[in-house]
Amino acid sequence: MNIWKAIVYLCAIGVLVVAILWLVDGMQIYTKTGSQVITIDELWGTKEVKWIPDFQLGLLPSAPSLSMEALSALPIAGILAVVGFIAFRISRRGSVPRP
Amino acid sequence: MKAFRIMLACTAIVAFIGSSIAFATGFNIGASGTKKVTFSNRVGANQITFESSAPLEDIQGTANDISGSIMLDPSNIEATTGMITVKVKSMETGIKKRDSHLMGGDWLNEEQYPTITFAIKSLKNVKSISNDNGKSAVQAIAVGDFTMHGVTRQLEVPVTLTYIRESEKTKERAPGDLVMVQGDFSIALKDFKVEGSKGTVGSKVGETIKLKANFFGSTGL
Repeated sequence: MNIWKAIVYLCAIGVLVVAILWLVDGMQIYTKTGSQVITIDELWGTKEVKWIPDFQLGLLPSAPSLSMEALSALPIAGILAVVGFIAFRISRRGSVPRP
Repeated sequence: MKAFRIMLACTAIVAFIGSSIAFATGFNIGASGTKKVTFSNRVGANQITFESSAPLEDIQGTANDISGSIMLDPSNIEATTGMITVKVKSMETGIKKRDSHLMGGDWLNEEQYPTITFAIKSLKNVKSISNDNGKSAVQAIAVGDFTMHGVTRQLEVPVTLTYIRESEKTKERAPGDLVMVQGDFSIALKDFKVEGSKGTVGSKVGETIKLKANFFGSTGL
C-alpha cells in the first residue's frame, strides 16, 4: 500500500471519528464549552441550574476565533474529506498501468 | 318607605365594608404587618433562567447574581412593593464567547447598563392556591417597571408567592419567615432596543425571550 492510499484510509477514519464524536456530544449545531447540571431544592421543590465546563463538539463553530469554540465537526470533516479525495485521485493516477 | 331607605343604606355600607375586606388578600397563616423580605441565596438559589428559540438554535441561559427585597404584608398581599436587581455580568449560556458577546454593545451593553431591574409597584388578582402546615401560596400578577438596556417598560408578570412560617426546619436556612417568589414571563428584545449583531435576531436568537425567575428571601435577614 502506497502512502496516498494510507492517507485516504486515515482521512476516512478521521471523518468517521468526527461524526461519531458529534453524535455522542448530542448533535449540537454549535460547539459548546459548558453544560447544565440541575439540582432540586428539597425545601422548595425548585430546580437550580449550574454550569460546568464541558466541551461538546458542534456541527459549526460558535465563535470565529482561535479558541475551543472554533473547533467543530463540519470544517474538520470537510478538510479531511478534501485531503482524502486529493490523496485518492493521486493514488488512482499512480496505479494506472502505463502503456 | 323610610325604613326601606335605611335598610338600603345599611346594605350599601355592609357591601362597601365587605368589598374592602375582600380586596385585601392574605396568606391566612396568622402573620400580619408589613415585613421586609430580603432575597438571599441562604434561603434558596436565586436564579433567572432564560430561553431563546430560533430556527438555527435554541439557547438556554441563567443569571445568578440577584439581589433585592420586597415589603410584604402577609394579610394584604396586594400592597406588596419591592425592587429586584440582576447583574448582567452573571448571565451564562454555555458558550463563553457567546456570553462575552451578550455583554457587548450589540446586545446588553453591560458596561453602560450593568443591571436589569424590576420595581414592583403592587400585586393584583391575588388568589390563594394552597394553605397547609404553616406554608401558604398565592398566585398573583405583579405590576411594575422592568428596566433593561436603559429602557423601562411597565410589565405585568404572573407570579406565585409561597410563605413559610419560621420553624426549626426553616431556621436551618435562615432566621425569620421564608418567602419564595416565582415568575414566568416573556419579553421582546425590540421593546428594550436590543438589536443584536446584524441578522442574528430571528435566526440565531429568538425575537422574544422566555424568562423564569426564582427568588428566595427571609424576613429575618
